[in-house]
Parts: sequence; C-alpha cells; structure tokens
Amino acid sequence: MSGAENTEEGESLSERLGFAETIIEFGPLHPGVRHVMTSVGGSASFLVELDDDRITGLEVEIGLAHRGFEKQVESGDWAAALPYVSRLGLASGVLAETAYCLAVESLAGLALPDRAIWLRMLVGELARVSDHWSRLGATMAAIGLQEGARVAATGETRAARALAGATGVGPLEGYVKVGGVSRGLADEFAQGWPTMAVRLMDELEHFERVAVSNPTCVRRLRDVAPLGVEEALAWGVTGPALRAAGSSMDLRRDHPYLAYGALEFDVPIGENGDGLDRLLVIVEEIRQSLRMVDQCHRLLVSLGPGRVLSEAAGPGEVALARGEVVASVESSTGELAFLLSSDGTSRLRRARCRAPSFFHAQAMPVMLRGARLDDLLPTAALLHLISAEHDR
Amino acid sequence: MSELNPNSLRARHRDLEVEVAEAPDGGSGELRIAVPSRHARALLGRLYEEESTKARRLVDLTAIDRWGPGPGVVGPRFEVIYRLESLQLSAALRVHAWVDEGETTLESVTGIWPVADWLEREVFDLFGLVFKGHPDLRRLLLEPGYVGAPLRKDSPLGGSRGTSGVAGS
Repeated sequence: MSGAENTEEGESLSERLGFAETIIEFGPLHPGVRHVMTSVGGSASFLVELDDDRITGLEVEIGLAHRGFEKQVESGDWAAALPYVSRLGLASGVLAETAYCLAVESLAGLALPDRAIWLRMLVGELARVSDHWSRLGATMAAIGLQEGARVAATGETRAARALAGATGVGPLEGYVKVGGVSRGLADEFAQGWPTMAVRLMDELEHFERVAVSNPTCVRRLRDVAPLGVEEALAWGVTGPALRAAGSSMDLRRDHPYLAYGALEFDVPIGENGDGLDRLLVIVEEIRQSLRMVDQCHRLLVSLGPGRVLSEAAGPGEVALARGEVVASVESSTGELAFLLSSDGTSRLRRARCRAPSFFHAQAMPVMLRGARLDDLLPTAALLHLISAEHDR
Repeated sequence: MSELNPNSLRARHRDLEVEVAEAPDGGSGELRIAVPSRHARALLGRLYEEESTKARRLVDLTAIDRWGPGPGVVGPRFEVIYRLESLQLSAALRVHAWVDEGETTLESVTGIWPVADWLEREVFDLFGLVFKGHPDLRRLLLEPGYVGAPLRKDSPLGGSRGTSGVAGS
C-alpha cells in the first residue's frame, strides 16, 4: 500500500511531492462510548505525524478524563473510595476493587472468609474473559474483520451475563467489599455455570476458526507494532502485551494473591511481541480463565453457602494501622496496584493507583514508530487503553 | 520473596545515608530503603547497576505529602517513592526519598528507566516537585495553564488556584 520504500534513496514521498509532513489528530472520543473507546483509547487523543501513511511521530495525550480520583479518595473515608475504584474499568472494575480491598485489608489486618477468596477469583476471571472479548472485538473491528467482531461481541455478552449472574449485581455496583464480597454465589449461577462454560468455550473455538486462522487476520497483525521483552520492561509494559513479547511474568503465578497458588492454569507467552502474538495470548488467556472459573465454581459449590464478608468490616469497625502497603493484582490489562499510606486514621494519607493503561499509553510511540497509520487502531485495541486508568 | 540482605545494603550504601528496613513488608515483599533526596539518584543508579540488586524494573514512581493541619510536618514534607523490582533475583525494593519543603528538586531517573518520563511528569503535575534533567518536564494530566499542585495536602478538594505557589506551570 505504501509507496514510501520505492522512492529514491533518502527521499520520502512527502519530500518528493513537495509537501510538508502531515500531522493528524485522532480522538478524543467520549470515554462512555464503549466499543469506540476500546478501539481508539476513548478520551486519549493521538497526535500522529505522518510521512505518506508511515507514522514518524506519535504523541499520546491523556488527562482528558482526569477525575482527580486519588484526591477524592484521600479526602474522605477509606470506604467512600470504592465507587471511584470500581470505575477504573467496566467489567474489570472488580479486579481494581480487589486490589484496593487487599491493600485496605492488609492495613487493617483483616482476614477473609474462604468463600470470599474464591469468589473474588471467580468474578475476577470472568471479568478478564469479558474484557479480553472486548479487546478482541475492537481489534477485529479495527482490521475490518466483521465476522470476528460479531463473534467477539457474542462472547463478551455471554461473559458479561455470566459475571452479572455470579455477582448478582450489575457492573460498577461494587461487588467486592473490604473484608470480602457483598453476596455469596447465586444459586442460578451455581447450577447454570456448566452450560455457560460450554457455550463460552464454543464461542472461543468459533472465534479461532473465523478470526485467528483467517489469513487476513494473520497478515494484518503479524509484525505490527512489535515490542521486545527488554523494551517492554523498560517502558513498564505488563499483562498480555508483555507476555506476548516472551516474558512469562504473571502476578497470579509469580506472587500468588488470594488463592491463585491453588489453581491450575498455564501462562501463555508469545515470541515476537507483535500484534498477532498479542491476539494469540489474549485468546489463550480466555481459555485459561475459563479453566480457573471452573475450578472456583467447583470448590464454591462444594463449600455450600456461608459467610462471605468478615465480621466487623464496616467503615466504623476497621482500624487502619500506620504505614504503607502495596497490593498488586494481575488485571486484564496488566499489573494494577494500590499503594496506600495511612496515618492510622480512617482517612488515607495517600492512595496511589498504578494502572497498566497509563504505562501502555506511554509505550505506544515506541511500538508504532515506522508503523502504518492503519496499525494505530488495532494496536490501541489490543492494548485496551482504559481512560479511567491512565487518568487520575 | 526478597533475597536481599538488609545489612549488606546498609553497609554498601552507608555513604548515601540510607536507612534500610529490617525485613521486607509482609504483603508486598518490598524492602524499604529511605534516603535523603540529594542522594536518591546516586542510590537508584547503584541499585540498577549492581549485581547484588539488579533493579532493572521501575514498577512505579509516586509521592506522598506529609503536610497536615495542626503541628504541621515533623521532618521533611515530601517523600518520592520508587518501587523497584529485580526479575533475576525475584526481589523488590521500595526507595523513599525524603524531600524537604525548601528544596523540591530531585534528579530525574529517566536516564536509568525510560518509563520514568511520564511518572515524573505526573508527580511534577500533581505535587509540584521538579525533576532536574528530565527531557520534557511539563504537565501531563492537567491543562498547561493550571496553577497549583492538587495532590498537595494544602490544596483543597474543590481545587485551588495558586495556593501552592508552584512555579513552572
């Protein structure tokens, strides 16, 4: 498509034609527009410098959805922070809630009931499946593979339904609480999961047939926006994008929190760190997450109903120790951590969120130098930039 | 998870006036090292280079404002926190650089870890701390004309304009 390589040595197309380099602006778009959000990073704005259709410079502008949420959290009671934390993602809000609650529980010396630990893993993995489907859908839309986008949308809907069924509440309603979770496994989910699991797995296999093994998809994503392990680490890239580069870093396995140490799962890794490897890692992670949900479901059914929230876990009942704690989880995007600093009062001195999208947005210019303009959208989609994450 | 020895770290970096915790934090496994801000860059460079630490990964960089109503701050007002990780050693460190209110300038670590670029800009933006040697130190989240440093404790929640007296915005 590009004629840039065919021009005389050292002369770019724009030079040959006597044009100045083109600079175009992508975005911003409203962060609430979901699929648009996942394909172009929502409220992030891209300033792209082009020579013909080659990207010669890229500036990612963030801050357009800056909520000041860390300031909000530091201005109220620790319990009042949760609604802000939930909104770090839609499906993946439960993963952010888990990180925040683990940090508060660590300051409070609060132990979790067994069921709450397994429920947090169950909903966390379902949220990952939903998020992963959403990035697959956005990627397919970005490369124009409508059939793939359609299958991904079905997969995402099924996963979101399963998540709502398991939690009994909608997204953003704060399922994960300090001291546990807000309710036990819904009966309907306990009985219905085996059927749902089969359907979700069917959808994944369907996607592999129409998208992953589709030559167009392979051609369109291979060698796109490559990122090696060293570079990925230097820029703080984590999650599927880092694993696609060949690193097996995964907090669930390396520093098992909750009860991940008791779960069986594989950590898929790529070789080239390009768009295709990212896609393959994400697809395989859906399969692994479904495996984990199965194991959590089985254990929870065998435990039966019981306590899911610690006693005395309310705002007035929990005393926070002085000092700093860090709690990290493997979110669907990468390493999501809360650093909390407490003076021993109910108001946190500092609540810092290390959110993976922030780091991925910063790494995009490195990944896309010399890429084609067409590669910007699939790359943003596979990275799954979440605006609430790169703003504070 | 840390295999780092607090005693040897203490001995090795004595010239930089470090204070090393006795043991890593229970939850995160991070070993805490406090250092005056004037020595922070030197310490971080060593932690990156030296075989015994190999802190090749800057996981996060942020700050804490210790200012409070009442008696005010006892000791330095700010702490800049560097969370480091060594993949080879499977060990984690958390460096707390103490910053006195009078000298809010630190040396940038972008030369060691490229990822510090946005992280330092964010701390500059929200805390008004300056990183000398940063290639492009300007606001990241707030608009260029904004005056103030909202995450400072003397900036009210509703937003204040000019109360923190931050230069360079």
